[in-house]
Amino acid sequence: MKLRRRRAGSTPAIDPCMGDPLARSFCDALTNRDWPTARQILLGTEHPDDRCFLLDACGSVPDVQDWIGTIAAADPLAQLVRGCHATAWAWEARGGYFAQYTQAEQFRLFFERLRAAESSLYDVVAANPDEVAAWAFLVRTARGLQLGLEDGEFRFQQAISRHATNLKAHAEWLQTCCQKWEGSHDRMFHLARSAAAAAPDGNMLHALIPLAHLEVTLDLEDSAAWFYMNRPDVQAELRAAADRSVLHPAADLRPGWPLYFNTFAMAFTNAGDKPAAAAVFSRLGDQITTHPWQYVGGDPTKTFSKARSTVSR
Amino acid sequence: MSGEQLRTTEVDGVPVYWLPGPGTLRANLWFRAGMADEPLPTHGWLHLLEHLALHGRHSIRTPVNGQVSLLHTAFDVEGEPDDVVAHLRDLCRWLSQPAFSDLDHERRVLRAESSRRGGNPVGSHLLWRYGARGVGLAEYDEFGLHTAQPDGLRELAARAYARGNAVLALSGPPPAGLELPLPPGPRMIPARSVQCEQPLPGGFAGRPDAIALSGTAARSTAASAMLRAFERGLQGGLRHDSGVGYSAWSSYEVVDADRAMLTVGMDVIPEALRDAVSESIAILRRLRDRGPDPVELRDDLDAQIRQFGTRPAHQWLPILAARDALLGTPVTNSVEELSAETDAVTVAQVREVALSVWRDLLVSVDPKAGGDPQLTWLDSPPAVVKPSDGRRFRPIHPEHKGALTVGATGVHLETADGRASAAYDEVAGMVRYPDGGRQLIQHDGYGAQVEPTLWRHGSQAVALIDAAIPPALHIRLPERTKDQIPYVKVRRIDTVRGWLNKPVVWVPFLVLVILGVVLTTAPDEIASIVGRVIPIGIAIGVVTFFRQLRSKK
Repeated sequence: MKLRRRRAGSTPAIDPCMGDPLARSFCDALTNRDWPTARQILLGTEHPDDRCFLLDACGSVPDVQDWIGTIAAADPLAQLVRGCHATAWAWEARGGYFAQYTQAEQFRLFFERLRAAESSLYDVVAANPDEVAAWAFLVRTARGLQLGLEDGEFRFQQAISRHATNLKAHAEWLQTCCQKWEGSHDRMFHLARSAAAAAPDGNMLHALIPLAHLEVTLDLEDSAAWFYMNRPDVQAELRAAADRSVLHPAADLRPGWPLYFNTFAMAFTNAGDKPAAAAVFSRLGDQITTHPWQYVGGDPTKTFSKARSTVSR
Repeated sequence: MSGEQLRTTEVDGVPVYWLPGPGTLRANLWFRAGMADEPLPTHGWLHLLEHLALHGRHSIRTPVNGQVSLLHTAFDVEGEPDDVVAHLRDLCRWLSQPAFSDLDHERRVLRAESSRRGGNPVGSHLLWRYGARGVGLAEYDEFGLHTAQPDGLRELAARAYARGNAVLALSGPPPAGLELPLPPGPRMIPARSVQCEQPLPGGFAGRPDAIALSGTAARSTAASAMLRAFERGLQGGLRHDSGVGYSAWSSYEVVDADRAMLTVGMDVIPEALRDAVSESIAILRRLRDRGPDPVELRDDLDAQIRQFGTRPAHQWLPILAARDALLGTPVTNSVEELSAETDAVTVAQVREVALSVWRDLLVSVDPKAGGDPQLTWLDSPPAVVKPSDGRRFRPIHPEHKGALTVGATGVHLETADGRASAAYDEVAGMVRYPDGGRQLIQHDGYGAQVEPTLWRHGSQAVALIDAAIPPALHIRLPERTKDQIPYVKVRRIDTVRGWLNKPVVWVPFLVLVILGVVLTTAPDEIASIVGRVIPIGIAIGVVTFFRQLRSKK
């Protein structure tokens, strides 16, 4: 079979811009410290989901914090980039592992950067409360700074009161509602299911469902996780969610769409639903994203390749 | 509620604010000169002048009082109109031509008073926020009590107690014969308060088993309302809900013409300190994000307005006017005006104040409970600068590590306890003890302590520093007791150990010994010695290598 015959060197690379040319231009401009170009791109990106995607992608650009601060004092858009970038920068310091493996020094740096992010993003929303992207990223900083559910929920509500189906705000709030942070499985599923129920067909909010199921398996042993994902009700829910989003004929493939395909691909693979997984993988191509593959640890590209070859057998 | 409008007149060029009212006459003579106007070496001079001015003027019939606050000096008197007139005339005469025969006596009294003070949480917040200048000086020792001399005091009095810098508040009509013979001079414009450069929101080590939170905001009735809401939040959250705190308090300090520092605090049981920090910041965030509960805000404003009506306006409205007139800000002319202003406070305005407070939030907490993720823990100076050149001094104790560098631009200290520095340009004052100890205090409150007893040739280091700091910044303090002077005992064994730690000392010595052996011994003997020494050396080398390898693992 074609997929099995892939050479070792053909493992796809992770593109933080997910193949989106505009995001690539935005990141390139920031890499070159060309703020006028970056600003123009951000200014022209009005859809809150697209804006969030650009601001997420810019987290991969190194050294932005070295120069953006001086511009940010006078330019709210630069302040927004500064805050969003500092959020990724903070998580970079933490190493991306679970809290118990993180050293005190890493935590100190993590919090220091998060405080910088929080302060920048609050300046943005104080000047313009309608900046949905800032509220969405503030949901994440609230979680990192251990502010409690009340703060996270407030910020989430601020975001969705202005853009009801905001993907970033929902994804961040779902994380906060997870058991591993401050919530519970019930709370997480309540959010995922109510958001999916309200979302129109083709919208990627349905990807909250597989994400929630994957979150449940994080705490389980391998075999227990396998049994959980193979439960008929779980499989049915995953299929229904995919049919309303990634596999829907009118799927809303906005920039950043590979993230949701990767989520479904991993969920279907873990659930042993090969046909569904293969369908998702074939639409996805080589657009691998770090999330959610990094859930299982190790190199996400290898996990991705292994999963893809498993379902193609 | 009194419908009276504030009356204004002028006596000897001094503005007078008053309202008619019953009771004995109260007069409050205010000047726009306070702690914020004194540099560190003269901090306390205004307090000293205030004491000297009132010395011997107390009586049961005409009680007098005086105080120096951050931005003002006030002289209060209460009594029959004739007595008040006589007191004010005599006081103003003294202020115009101060006499200093009681200087030493009052200096002693104030030193005794000063030694009983300290540990005021609001003062410590002022210090951490503003450093060793302006309103930050409130928490510092009154070094000026040691530096005061008649000429300097006279010059200060001429500026501080000038006609243009005074306002009189009266609780009744100006009495007949009132005179205020003050020298001519302008109003002292209050300097803008400047906060130290440091990452905020931040936390610092405060009193044990207590927390206090402060931030700044533009002066307004909304700021007062926010402060009350914050205090209520603390009381409700920590005392009534969690039951970990005792009694909340709050303070509103005007720090310049436009801004105020708002502080709230509470005593907390030790085991709940950490939660109390996060909970109290959560209360502030709630006010910042959602604002106060509208119903609660309404009740608070109504209670406030009722309170304006119950307190006799003639006793406080003129004083409020005196304070504001001296700051150069609009004066409130009636209780109705103040009530209307209070009545108009909105949830959005209170939220805005809370945002301002959160932006420069400082939290003092027992060091055991430091480390809240939301706060940068301020335990070391933001920048320790080492001069690129200068003379280096070594510790007296041969085994102690570190160095003292005295350069052309500053001093840098490196010891086992950490690093410290002071740039001469930034020095607000230098405390000097007769034994040679020097404490350089920078404007940001950080600095360096140089003790000549700890450094080789320490007295030379001190001489260099003394020459670099302008004499006006020297603060000469009296002798320290022996136990207050740091002392290091150096035993002979310490000296030997010190030498052994320095290969530069013993390697040449060893080379000389070897050379001596080589020159005095026959070649064939050397060959036999070398033949025995080399295998032993190799064996020692191998064993040492493996031991090191094992210890690394």
